[in-house]
Amino acid sequence: MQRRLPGPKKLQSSLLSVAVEQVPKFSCQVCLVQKPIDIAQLQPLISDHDAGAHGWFYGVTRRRTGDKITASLSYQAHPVMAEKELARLANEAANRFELKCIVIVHRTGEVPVGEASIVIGCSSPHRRQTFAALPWLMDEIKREVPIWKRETYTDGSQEWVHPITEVT
Amino acid sequence: MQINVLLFASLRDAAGGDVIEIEVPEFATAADVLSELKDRVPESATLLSSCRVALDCRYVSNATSIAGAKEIAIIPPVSGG
Repeated sequence: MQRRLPGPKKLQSSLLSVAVEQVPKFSCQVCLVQKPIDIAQLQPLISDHDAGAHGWFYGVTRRRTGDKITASLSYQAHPVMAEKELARLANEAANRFELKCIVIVHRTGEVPVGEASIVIGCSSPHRRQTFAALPWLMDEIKREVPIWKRETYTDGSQEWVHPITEVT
Repeated sequence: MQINVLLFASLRDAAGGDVIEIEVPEFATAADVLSELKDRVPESATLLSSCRVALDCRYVSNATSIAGAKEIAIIPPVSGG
């Protein structure tokens, strides 16, 4: 009976092949943070020697909306569900656009004018995939991820933003 | 039966808290939860018509039973990004 058991070398080799099969084709990292997003720290996360295109999107608090002046935005999230939805969308984008790496960081709490509330970075073998992935991701995030922003205007008034109509 | 429901954004402000306890029928659906909330927070009735329900961090249709869910959350139209 003992002779039929695989030897250590054979066992090791079968474990290795399983591990190789489970290596993902891409890297996805998402998180929520409650402080300013450190963009420089994110840049190595999309580095891949097979990716010839790196693209970034920064969503930043805008000062003027129509005739109203924003003092700051405050973001609230369902944190567990938001990270799950971000991960689901990142994986879908990686598959849909053949990305090599993707990182999404969303800030919650107060985000002053000029600071980033969201940063998305992705890399792909060629530029068209990265160019296509970024707007698709932002549209999906604005439809699906349970995060809400509250505007505080310079006149002291506040309002939650709940877009009922189609996202533009 | 009595259940706790998580609230967010303007719905949370209108209800005065991040969790509300409501009474729903024994075999309640997500639609029953939204309907009861319209009675409890009438000033948010219009917004509730645009809200989705998430059970254990997954969106569900209004016809889905809430039986067995550990967490019930009402998700108003989102505005992240």
